[in-house]
Amino acid sequence: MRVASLGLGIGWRPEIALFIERRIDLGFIEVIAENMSTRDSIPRAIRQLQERGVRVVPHGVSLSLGSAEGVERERIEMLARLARVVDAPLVSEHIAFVRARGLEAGHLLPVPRTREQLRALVRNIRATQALLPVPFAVENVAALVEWPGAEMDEATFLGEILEQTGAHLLLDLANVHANARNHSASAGETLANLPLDRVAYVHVAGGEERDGLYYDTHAHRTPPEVFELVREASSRMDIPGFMLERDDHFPSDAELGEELDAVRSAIAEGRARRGAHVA
Amino acid sequence: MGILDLPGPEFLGVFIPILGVAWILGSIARSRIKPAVGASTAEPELTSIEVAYLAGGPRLALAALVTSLAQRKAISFDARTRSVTVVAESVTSENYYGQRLYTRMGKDERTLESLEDDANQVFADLPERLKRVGLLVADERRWIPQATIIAIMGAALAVGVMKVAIGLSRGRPVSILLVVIGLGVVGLVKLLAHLPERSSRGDDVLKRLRHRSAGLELSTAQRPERLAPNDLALAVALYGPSMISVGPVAVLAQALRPRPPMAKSGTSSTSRSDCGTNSCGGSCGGGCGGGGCGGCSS
Repeated sequence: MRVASLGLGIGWRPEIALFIERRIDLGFIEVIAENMSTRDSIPRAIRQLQERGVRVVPHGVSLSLGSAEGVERERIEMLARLARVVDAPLVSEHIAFVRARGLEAGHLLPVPRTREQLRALVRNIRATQALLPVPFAVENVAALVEWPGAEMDEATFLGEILEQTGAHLLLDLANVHANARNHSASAGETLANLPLDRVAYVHVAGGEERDGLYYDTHAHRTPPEVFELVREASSRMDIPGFMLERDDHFPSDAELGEELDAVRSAIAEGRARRGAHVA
Repeated sequence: MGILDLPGPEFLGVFIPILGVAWILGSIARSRIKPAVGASTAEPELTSIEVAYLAGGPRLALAALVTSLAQRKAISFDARTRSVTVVAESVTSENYYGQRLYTRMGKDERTLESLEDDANQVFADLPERLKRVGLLVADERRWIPQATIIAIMGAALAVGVMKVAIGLSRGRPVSILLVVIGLGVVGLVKLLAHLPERSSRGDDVLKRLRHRSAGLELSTAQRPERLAPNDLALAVALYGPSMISVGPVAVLAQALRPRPPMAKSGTSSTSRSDCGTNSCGGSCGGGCGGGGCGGCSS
């Protein structure tokens, strides 16, 4: 089952709440679920966006779907509660692990692409889906290092997860770009091999290169390569939603607006390409 | 048997509650009856400076204006001397009050206190404009709340005065009753003093603006340096200067916070919030304007 259309979105942060309030073309916002675990912690600014029809997608960062020891039921219940409170169309989390044996990494750590890890992920995703009242989407992460002994490439690994769980994909194109850049792979090839019909929405973000590595910072302008991936994805399929992520070094409203407009333009250009292909 | 026929102690037992109820009714009338004239139903278009004046009078309007000029980098602030200096040659022509402030400031360094003394002149034409659109109580309607308060409290006090006359005619002691009546008169004077300047419509407009500006409130608290000068001025107008606690303008904004009376004698006031410093008996209404209670007549 495909996710309903979400339109253009942005990661909601209090620093840019006024900018978001003034963008009347937004169809959805993504909120960090752990920051809004109770009904009272939903800012009034978000409630007002909801009143005008903007959908709210809770995005978890601490479920640790990749943990071999399983996911904590309380964390899933928190996501489920938030999904009900904000009437979310879906909930999303990362394909990563953030803790092991009680130790918190404080980062979204990549998982090894092995059959054994796949089984753990599938078990955890199913356990999460069982308690969520809405569809669940899982996000590909950026990995600065690759675990040794990979048994499959990223696209195959993601495809297997989606196939075995029925989950949707939160496709982070900035992470596809980062991984391709850091591991000498082809972003276009990864994209071509992904099941785009399972994509719930897409993350678009910027980063920077330091010491030969590309960091997915969410604090810099979106690079042209990521916009090209937006065009490419749009040219292949109608994707329910695209959103811009910005977490730090917030630019002026004008610059942020330009970046959102550029995402919209890239989507339109991609769709136009599809029309050209058909013709 | 009527109330005036009651013996002294029993009369006081009834009269004091009557006076108390009258004072409460008078207080309600004072906070609710704020009539405007000529107000259309459409919400007026207000600049951030007008909103600031509406929320907190000339002092908050000055805080909003100075903050917006600092955000434009048109003035600089020296925290040590609490003084501002013009650093840009001029402000934009559409910034009417900015230009008026510039004219009064000249090129010399001016302390915030001396600017506050000028605030009434800088914003001299603002009250009339706000009265015209029905956001401040119209001069010709000011008698309505006054008359209502006097009628309520006067009726209660009249009962006491009659009882005094009866007591005197019967040669009874009336001193306690006179003290109670005296307290009632003090209460009446307090109700009539500093009647709210803002009309009920002005209260509604401010309330709606605050409700609609949730995004502005959050963005100001988190990253005020990202905001346009007019947005920052509106944030000061709606939430007070203390909302700006980070960023380059924060030191100036904190200096623009209303100072409690003790601060003038050198007592530290850093823990004091803007909210609740209202000195007009709670008559400003609608949340924290941050600028004390400039909306009251002085």
